[in-house]
Amino acid sequence: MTRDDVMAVVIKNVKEIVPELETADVDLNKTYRELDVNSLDLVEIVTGTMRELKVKIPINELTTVKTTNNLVDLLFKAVSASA
Amino acid sequence: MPEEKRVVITGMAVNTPLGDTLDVFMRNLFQGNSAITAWKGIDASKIACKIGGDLSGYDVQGKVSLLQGQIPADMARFLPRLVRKSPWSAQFSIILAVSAFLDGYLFDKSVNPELVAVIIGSHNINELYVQNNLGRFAEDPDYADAALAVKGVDCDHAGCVAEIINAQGPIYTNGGACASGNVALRSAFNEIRYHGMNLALVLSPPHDVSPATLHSLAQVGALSCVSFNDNPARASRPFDTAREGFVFCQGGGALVLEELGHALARGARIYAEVLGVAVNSSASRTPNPSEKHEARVMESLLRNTGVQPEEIDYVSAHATSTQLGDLAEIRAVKSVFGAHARKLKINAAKSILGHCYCSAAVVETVAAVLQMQAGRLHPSINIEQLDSEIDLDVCANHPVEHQVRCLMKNAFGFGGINSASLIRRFDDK
Repeated sequence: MTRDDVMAVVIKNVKEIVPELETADVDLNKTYRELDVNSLDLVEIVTGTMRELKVKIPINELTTVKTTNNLVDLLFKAVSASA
Repeated sequence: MPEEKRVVITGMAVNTPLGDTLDVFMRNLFQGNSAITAWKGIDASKIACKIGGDLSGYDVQGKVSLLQGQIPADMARFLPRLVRKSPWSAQFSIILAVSAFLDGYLFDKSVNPELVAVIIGSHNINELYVQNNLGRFAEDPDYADAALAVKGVDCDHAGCVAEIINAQGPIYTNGGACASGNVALRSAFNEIRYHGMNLALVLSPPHDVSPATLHSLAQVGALSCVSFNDNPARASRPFDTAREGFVFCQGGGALVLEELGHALARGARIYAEVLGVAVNSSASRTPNPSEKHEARVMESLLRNTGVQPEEIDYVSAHATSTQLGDLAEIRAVKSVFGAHARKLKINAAKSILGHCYCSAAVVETVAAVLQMQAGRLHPSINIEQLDSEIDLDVCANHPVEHQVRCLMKNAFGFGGINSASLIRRFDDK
């Protein structure tokens, strides 16, 4: 699985939570605060993605996640480690 | 002693298989078009109950888009996001709240948010959502919805509703099984009369029912699951000899209660006045109805509101289509109303709609108020052979032209919870 594959799942789940982004591109470097995604939203995006990718990241590592790029990095690391 | 505050209904909404607008909902009730079909969204393969009022195909997003065009811009932006993030049933709570506030023209003028209460009349609302997540949890704890603890609980409905309509007064849930709607109506009434609220929204969403609950209801003998699976529209038949249990329906409703002075000051459309709601207990855990305590709750309501039995023109019956329940209610009505019982018109919304469970009382109160406005009562359908003991006018099979000044709405629930409300046509007396 490539980083782009992980990216596609994350973006799909971000759009699930933020309908305004459905028809727009998600700015990968915009912070979740700027996107108005709160901590509860972020946990849901992450658990949804973990479920689909069948990987896990410790929830406490989410404190380092500010942007979609950060999140994809974290998840891709987990995917690569489990491969 | 200051005069007691009066409480009126100034907004209403429904969302049921018979329609998601008041007009369509009432047209279907007047025409007696049954809401009951084979289950589509519920996996009924392993259970005896095969039929119900099914909202699973409802176009939530379509309704949200429709509402977006009618509400303030900031709310229109926020609405789809709140709905999208919510479990199925909470999506309906949000839609119902917005619809009821729109119906009450409450987005047109600013109201003091600190004096707006929200009472959710229901409990165990999200049961299928919770059950599905427990299944995922069993597979792997991290696969369950991370927000289960937030969104699985009933008061999340109150939170979602409060957020979308900006209610900053008291918000909470009232559970009273199938009487939940009346219990919530009583709380809302009290919030206005005794706790200084200007507005109180009573809201009961469609129940996210699980096959397990349907199975249990069938096992305790409450559900129709034998004779009518191939004829769903005929299954719910209160007062008919062949009735064999209720038919579950996913439906919800909402009522905006308002302090009369506040309503008059803003020029609100007033549907009716709520005179009072009584609730009591049969002191019995069994699901069996109690004629004695049902009569007692109706009597206490009349006594406490100072209304004479002869002033009631119409009873919107609880009448679920069970053998014991329908008879107990009719016997109770006869004992409370005496000779006047024969002048009453009584009908059973559940014959057409099915039983909206914890939401039944709110949905049926909306129907009752609109019938009072229309001067017309919907039929009780499927009465092919009236139970020989039922000798009152139950509006069998045909709508009835009938002027209603004052109506009683009954609702009884498991746990021995009995309730009734009194609602009077509003004129300026």
